[in-house]
Amino acid sequence: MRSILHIDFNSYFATVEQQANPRLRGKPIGVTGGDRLQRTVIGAASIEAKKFGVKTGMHPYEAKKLCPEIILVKGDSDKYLEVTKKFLNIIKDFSPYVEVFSIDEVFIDLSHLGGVNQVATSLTSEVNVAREIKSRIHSEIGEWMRVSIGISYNKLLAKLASNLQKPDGLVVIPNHTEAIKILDKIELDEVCGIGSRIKRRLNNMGIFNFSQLRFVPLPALLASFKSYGQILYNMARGVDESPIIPFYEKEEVKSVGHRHTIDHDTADPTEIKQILLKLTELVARRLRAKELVGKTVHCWYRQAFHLRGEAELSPGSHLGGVFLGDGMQLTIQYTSDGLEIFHAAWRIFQTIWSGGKIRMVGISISNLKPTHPQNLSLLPETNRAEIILKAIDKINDKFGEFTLQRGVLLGSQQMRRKPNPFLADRRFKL
Amino acid sequence: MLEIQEPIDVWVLFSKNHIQPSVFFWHGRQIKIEKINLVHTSKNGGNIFYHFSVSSCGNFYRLNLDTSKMRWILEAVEEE
Repeated sequence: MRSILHIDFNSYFATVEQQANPRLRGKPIGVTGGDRLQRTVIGAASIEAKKFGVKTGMHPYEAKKLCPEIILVKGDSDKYLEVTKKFLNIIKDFSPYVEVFSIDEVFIDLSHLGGVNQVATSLTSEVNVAREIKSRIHSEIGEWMRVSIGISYNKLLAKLASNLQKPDGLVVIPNHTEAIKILDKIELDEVCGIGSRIKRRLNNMGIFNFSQLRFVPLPALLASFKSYGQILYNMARGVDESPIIPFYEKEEVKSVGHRHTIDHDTADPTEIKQILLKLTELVARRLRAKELVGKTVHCWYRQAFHLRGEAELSPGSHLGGVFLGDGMQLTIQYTSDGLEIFHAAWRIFQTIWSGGKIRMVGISISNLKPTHPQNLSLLPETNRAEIILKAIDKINDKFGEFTLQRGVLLGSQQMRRKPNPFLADRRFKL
Repeated sequence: MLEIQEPIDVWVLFSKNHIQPSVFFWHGRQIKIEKINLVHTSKNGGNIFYHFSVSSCGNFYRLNLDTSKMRWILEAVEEE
């Protein structure tokens, strides 16, 4: 039997901020996106803020309504990624099989210790490892850092176990009998893999808990959920064969993208063009850093805020409103040149944009392949462009992003990555 | 928390391959660092910056060491 540990930091971004600044400890805090407090959402709420009902993704206005004394702290991606690196440095001493699930969650395979003990309360070697990990996190990262650890015989149940006791929990689900007992006590959406939509669909089928789900025959689940029916069928029985994918076995990057929420609404084509060019330059830089080229450009935008119906709301309120937008994709020749991607993105934008004010624009490029091998161009201007790009990259690598940039980008808005738990292409920095 | 960017003088200790700021001088005051709560780095091109989140007498400070210029900056302050 395998033995899997799932480790999950509690209120990660907020706890890191409280670790850095002890004056924030024990207080309700909300970490906002990147370098601003405007047009942002709560990226993470501290344990104290959660007690007031503050949740991730909430608008600061709503958070302040629930908890007037909440302290808003600007998020800092570098800080969180650094703590994750320190954490992984500790974890790798216990097992080479570590899967980074998100910036604050890992799975560890400890099967080499002999498998999960059959007695949940005894001090198994896995429990000892879990305690040692907690102790090393306290001593090597910081005394305020807390993790919940779940131990079980597969990833599904280890993750469920770590969710059962927060903060600072340590829960073991040692065997199938115990797993079924726990599954029968919890809500469907407490298991990773069942979100609100799947839960609603199951509810519509008259299934409200796992014991009812176990009664549904596999063909019926496959008919309703296609291949996901098999996963639901297994979940209800505590079965999960998915392997640990070590973080050093890097997943293939499928797309590279960037979006930007503007700090005001705009319908100025010059301004939008400038933002779009900056986004495409950022995306192209990341493509070149990974030695990739892509051919499918996707561009999308979100319109300024619209009130739903005729409801009059107080300024700043997003309740009852809706964000509309559009997007489209276009296939071009394989490239990692920001200007070429921009030309495609601008063509898309002109097609989908109705001329109204917008608040957010984004681009991504997919259909990626390695830069090498490549067909060398016989056109001297293509080779010249490549040489120029290489020179610009070399200078920006040394002196910082946009040290050397296209003239039209001078004075453009700064774009920083907002803290988010999804490592995506940052995985290669670990 | 007040975000500032003020150059400061710092006394540091080098210990076990680590650099530890111990005292810094700001606005004519000598501030003794009691605890380093968190250290993290950031990069701008090839330049590496070390950020030290520290405490002294219940106050919070964040010091930044620009390794390319060997210059210390006080970048954030929260005092009683």
